[in-house]
Amino acid sequence: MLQYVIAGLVLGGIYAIAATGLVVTFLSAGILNLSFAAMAYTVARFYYYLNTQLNWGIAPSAILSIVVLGPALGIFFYFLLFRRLHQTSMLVKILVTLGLSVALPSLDTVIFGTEAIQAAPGLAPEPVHVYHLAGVPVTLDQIIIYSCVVAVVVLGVVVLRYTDVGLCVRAMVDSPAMTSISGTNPQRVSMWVWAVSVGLAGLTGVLSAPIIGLDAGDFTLLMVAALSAVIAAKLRSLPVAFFVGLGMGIAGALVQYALPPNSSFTAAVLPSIPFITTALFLVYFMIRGGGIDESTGIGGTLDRAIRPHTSNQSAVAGVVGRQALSWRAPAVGFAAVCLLPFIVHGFWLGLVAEGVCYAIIFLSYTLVTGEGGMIWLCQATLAGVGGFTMAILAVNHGWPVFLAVLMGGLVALPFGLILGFLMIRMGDLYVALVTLTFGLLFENLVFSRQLFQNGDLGINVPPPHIVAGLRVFTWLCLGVFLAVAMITVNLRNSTTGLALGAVRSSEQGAKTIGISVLQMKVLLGGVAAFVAGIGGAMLALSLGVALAGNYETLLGVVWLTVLVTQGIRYNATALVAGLAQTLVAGFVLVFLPKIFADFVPILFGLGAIALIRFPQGILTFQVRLFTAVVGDLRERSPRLFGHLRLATLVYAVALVVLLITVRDLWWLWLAITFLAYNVGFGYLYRQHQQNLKRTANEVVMPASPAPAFDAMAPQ
Amino acid sequence: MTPGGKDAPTVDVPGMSVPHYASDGVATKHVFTAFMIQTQVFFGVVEAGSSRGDPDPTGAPCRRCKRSVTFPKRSLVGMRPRSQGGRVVGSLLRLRPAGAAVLFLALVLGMVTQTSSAGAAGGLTASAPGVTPKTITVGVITEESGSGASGAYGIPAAFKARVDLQNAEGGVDGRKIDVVVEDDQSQSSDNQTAAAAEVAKGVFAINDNSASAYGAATYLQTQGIPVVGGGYDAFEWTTASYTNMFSTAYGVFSGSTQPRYVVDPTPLKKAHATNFAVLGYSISPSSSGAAANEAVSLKQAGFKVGYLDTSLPFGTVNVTATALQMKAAGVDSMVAEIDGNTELALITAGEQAGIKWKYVVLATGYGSQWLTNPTAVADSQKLYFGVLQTPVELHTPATIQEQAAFKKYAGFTGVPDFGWTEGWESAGLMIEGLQVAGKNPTRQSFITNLRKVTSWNDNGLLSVPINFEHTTTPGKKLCSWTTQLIGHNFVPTSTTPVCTNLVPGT
Repeated sequence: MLQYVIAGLVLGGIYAIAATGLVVTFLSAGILNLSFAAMAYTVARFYYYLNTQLNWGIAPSAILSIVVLGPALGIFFYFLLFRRLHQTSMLVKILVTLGLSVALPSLDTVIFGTEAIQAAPGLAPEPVHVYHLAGVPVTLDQIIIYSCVVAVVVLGVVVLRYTDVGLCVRAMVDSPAMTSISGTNPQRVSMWVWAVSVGLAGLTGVLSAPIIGLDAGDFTLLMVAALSAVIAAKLRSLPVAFFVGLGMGIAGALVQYALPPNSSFTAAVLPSIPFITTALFLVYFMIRGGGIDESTGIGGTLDRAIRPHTSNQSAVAGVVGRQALSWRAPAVGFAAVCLLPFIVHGFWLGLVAEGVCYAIIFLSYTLVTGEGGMIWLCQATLAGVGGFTMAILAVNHGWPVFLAVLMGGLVALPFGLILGFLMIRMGDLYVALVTLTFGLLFENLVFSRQLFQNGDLGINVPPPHIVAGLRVFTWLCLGVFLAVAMITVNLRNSTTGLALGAVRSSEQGAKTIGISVLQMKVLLGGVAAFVAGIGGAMLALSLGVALAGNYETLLGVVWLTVLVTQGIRYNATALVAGLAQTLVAGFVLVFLPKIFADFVPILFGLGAIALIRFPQGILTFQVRLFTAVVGDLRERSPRLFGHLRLATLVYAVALVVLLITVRDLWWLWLAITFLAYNVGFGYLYRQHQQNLKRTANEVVMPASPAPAFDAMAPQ
Repeated sequence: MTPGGKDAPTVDVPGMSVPHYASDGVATKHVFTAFMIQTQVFFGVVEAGSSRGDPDPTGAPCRRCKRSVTFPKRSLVGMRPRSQGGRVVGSLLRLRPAGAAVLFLALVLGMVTQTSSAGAAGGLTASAPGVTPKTITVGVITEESGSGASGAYGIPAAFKARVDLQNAEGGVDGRKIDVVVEDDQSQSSDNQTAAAAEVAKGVFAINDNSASAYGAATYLQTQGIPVVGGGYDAFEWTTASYTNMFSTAYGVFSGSTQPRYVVDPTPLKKAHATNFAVLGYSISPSSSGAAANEAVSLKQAGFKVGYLDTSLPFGTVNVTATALQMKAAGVDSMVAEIDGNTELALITAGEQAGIKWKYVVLATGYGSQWLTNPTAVADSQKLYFGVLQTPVELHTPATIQEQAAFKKYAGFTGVPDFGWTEGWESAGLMIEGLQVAGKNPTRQSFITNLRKVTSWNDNGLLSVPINFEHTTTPGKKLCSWTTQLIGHNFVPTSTTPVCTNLVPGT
């Protein structure tokens, strides 16, 4: 058994170095860098390029990769992104770093190509020397890993706790304002913190590549596993992260030692060890301390203490600020989508139907994150529960399809209730991490069963008999979307919705006026899970198959980002995001050259990063701007406003007629509309800006002297 | 949309329904082009007698073409516009010679393009979507991006090289083959989207060569699209209901019905193998099922199976504990239904644990990509590699033709690995299907007639001919080629493939 313990230290060492890197970054920068794995992969890939493809020596390759490229990337991303993240909400922080984690590997593919890498070298010279410890082969690469892990932990603890540099770093995380008063430039400190953090990520990548392989997907799984150790360390204890990481590796080896290798139970347990570790530690924390919050003992305490109490401190502050908009625009938009089945057909109509089904799933995010302020990353899993429930009932048990769809929602509902209950005392970041872990665990333990996999074919879902054609099916999906959206609207406008708003703004404040936070969160979790289940079932109907690959947890994170970039508080943005999800992909597939396929993830990542500038969503921003400009026009020139409104109405009708009758030129009509809108709105926007300036000047400098002077003038 | 402006009948399938004749895309494009040329010339030219009418693609005057149009000062017809933005009127009688020439050319072009797409040329007709008297358009779906891109590298280029070779020899029944390539980004849902996009573009048949091909299987089967591919992703290729799907090898079967083949003990005994480790991925029923069957066959052949592991995480290279178990079991040989990087890691870890390998066959790895990795080459010296096709090192007519085509049409001069082999063989199967589909092929004739082919071996490239009448049952024989890596060369272990028989009852 000792041999397996030593064998387990190999992977354990990788988990430990990744976990300590994440904790160091969080302690130093106050941000859980979910793009850590992507940065590690980038540096490792660059090292492989220099060392293997260009035949550079180990030393120059390592120096250029780990010491130069890593810190340079850190500084670059600090100025581009991270310096703006400090005061944003937790949702934006999570999505921005996740967006970067998607964009970076795609950028690496564009730069380095898609060559299959069978074996990646580490820092040890080839052929790698092998030592034997208690009969277990230990390579020089592995010894280097152990040494680096120990060095990182020791240095990290010593520097952060016992040196002036560490004091500066901790002070800067705690309160940038007070740090700058003391004469330290917080920007410079942050910049170097990120340089060191990404350098550390690069070191992790180069060391890990010979052990786990050089593939972006492997690095993502590594980080997900390392997050378990980070959660165990409560995001702040380097020694705990180190030992739990090592422990997970050893546990995996001992499972292999104890359990039969050709057992399906072993096959299920092995990949689930990190998630089981997370669950055990969470239960332990909740039993002991009653709750866990990422802000406990971590930086920002002083700034939080002196921050005015009127500011919104929720996890989604800035993202979910909701300004009431007229119902007319969403109604017009929905009507326009209802007309789409007359305009598009075949392939594109299929994408519209699929997009509406995604929109239904997105409404679950609107509920749980937009209304509830909770960052759930497992909606894709809940959608999968709904999809598979519907498929099994309809196909295997002959249930009517629509009843099976409803059951899909009802089966998903208790999962939401239980999750809402379990996470009641968790901080926002922990809620996100726990739901992410739940989703991945479900994928590994449940969706991998042959009942759902069916040898990778999934479960074929026949179309419902009463639906005659794709057009009718699309309207059916729109009907379901409308029904669910009305549930959301009614909830929002009810006393329950007001109570949710109160909880979202301030849990403490809500408790003082007698609102049960537990009840609100559990209720919302259940309703959101129900909606996700319905959406998942409709998606399976749309695709004609319930496939586990269509409900992957990490895919759900992409969905959330697509939605948040549009706006997470409005039902209309859910519909736009759902349609964008499918139609943009279709557009790229059909009209753009192949090379753009690799750029789509990069653009998605950029979209997520744009959240910093538009935390409420780009579409929401545009709508508000439009509303302001049009409102200003109506005040300044009612007559012109009336003419423009009539002209727009006539043009809209003409456009619809043209799109229906002369479909082949749809691209021309849309291009004309786009140009006309930009020219027209641009003109109005300039007028609006000039009006604002004029109004501001009139306030500062009145046009005529004050009457008192006239009164005092000699007669 | 047909030129008449009416939609063709649709298949009533929510999801990705497209009309059976979604658009005769090529014909429509030509009609549109000719129409635009003609109307641009006719705009501003007064119609004789001010009569109005529909834009007639046969070239008759555009009777609705009285428009307010702004022409440049020097127009093709040598007329000055009466006013900027005003109604421009001219007369055919005042055409300049240059303008008349252009007009004549436009008429000719319009008539040629319109008639060529619809008319019969030597008995060849536009008998199906994607088929014209001169061309057949086929689609390729593969993983050009995403996690599977490295494994699928070479598929589109190899497919096109085979098609280019065929086109250089006259195509199929006088028709050239056009290829449309789509990327499924290694996602099953995107595979279906890519398939729907190709069907909407009017391809006749599809080569779905992706590890996510199962994502589009139901859709393509519902649409009646002929599909060829590698058959390595899931068991739709061997399922009776998917009559439209043809794979270049006997495909995988569902986990519970994996076939079992007798093991030929000769090469194993020659290598002094005695005790085997057999491994498969837990997440793949075909991998774990095949591993379990291998173990049974090895035992029946008189060998010991000291270690059977069907719980390997997919793609893992962290195998130290596994190596310890293999060492403890006393194995000296390995058979694994896993990827090359996992197998290489097992070999290396086993050697480091003290195992002296006698017989190890890597199921994948044969090809140039392996040879470009010094670490992989160093760690796999004298190991055996399974090969999907006749090894090019044997220089048979089929492999010579293959490598010559790769060099000429794709600029590839290396050893074809998985992607290049799959692309070439899939193209060969597609061409076979087009050839047997008849002079004026339809999708149904492709499916029906290819299903009647009882012995297809791609000009001798395959190790065992495929009988497409019986692809839902395993082949009676399993034949395979093996090479050994010596230095930087793959050396075939025999000049003929090694064959074993199906165990009765499996």
